[in-house]
Amino acid sequence: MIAPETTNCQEGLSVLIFSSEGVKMAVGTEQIVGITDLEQAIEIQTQLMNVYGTPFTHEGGTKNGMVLLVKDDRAASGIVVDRLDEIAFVTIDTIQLIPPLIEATGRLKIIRGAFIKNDEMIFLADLTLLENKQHPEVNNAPVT
Amino acid sequence: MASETGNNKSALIFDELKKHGRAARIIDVEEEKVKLVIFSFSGEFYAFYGSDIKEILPMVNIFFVPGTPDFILGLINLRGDIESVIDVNYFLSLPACQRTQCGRIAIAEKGGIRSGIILESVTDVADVPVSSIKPSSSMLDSTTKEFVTGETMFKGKNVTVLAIGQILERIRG
Repeated sequence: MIAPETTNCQEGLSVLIFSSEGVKMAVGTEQIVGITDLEQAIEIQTQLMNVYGTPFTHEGGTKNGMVLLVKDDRAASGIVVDRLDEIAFVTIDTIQLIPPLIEATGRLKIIRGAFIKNDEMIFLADLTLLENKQHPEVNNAPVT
Repeated sequence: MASETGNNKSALIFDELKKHGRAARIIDVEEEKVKLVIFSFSGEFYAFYGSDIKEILPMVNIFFVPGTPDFILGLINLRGDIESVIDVNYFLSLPACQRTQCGRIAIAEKGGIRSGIILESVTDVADVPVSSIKPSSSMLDSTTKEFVTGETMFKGKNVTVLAIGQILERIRG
């Protein structure tokens, strides 16, 4: 029999697992202040970017996709992802740091770790580290 | 008299045999050997020191990591642990290694840095005399030379011995 306190001691993280450009990623649910679809995010003129920090511009393309609203110092910004998969709880012992060679060479600094779920590698991201790579003049342009 | 000569002859023969035996044993002891993991790429042979290779795995699924350079192929699940996988061909000015079912992933560790290395095929794991590893030829360009420790012969073919530690250090920066 497992004592209740033993179960409570099992530290972990509630994560939202999503897919972006063919890569499965997860983010701690405490970083997400809201979820909306892309069409609505465009309507309310949320500042949008992808997981690479590149500004997202609709430009008459498809409006498929979901937007994770992340609170940063200034305002909520929207991270466009392809699909939301599930909310899961991952224990700390299953989360591993990114190997040093990846950490040293990777340009996507939001990836802080990874874990394996159902034989799939899922990258754990810290979306608060995402820098918007918009140029100032683009920053002021409305999302079309 | 005849018997004395016979005895002397036997003694001489025994002495000779002892000398040969001793010489053979001395050669065995003195010939220091080193283990090499020999692999091929485009018909050329390359090797890593066996002491730097922890294990050799069959090809497994490599998960792409966004935002990494071309020589970082991704991550693998190694019995629940996460390991990076690199393609050393980039550092040898060779075309990218092809991922095939007969390919292998060698887990290398040197200087506290650990990573998987994709190999198209592993030819052999062999003990070769240390003395047979000669300095690399001057035909290599300066970039490649930095990652080569020497050359040896294996089954009549030239084998370039690579300095995996240098490659891993270069990547880590």
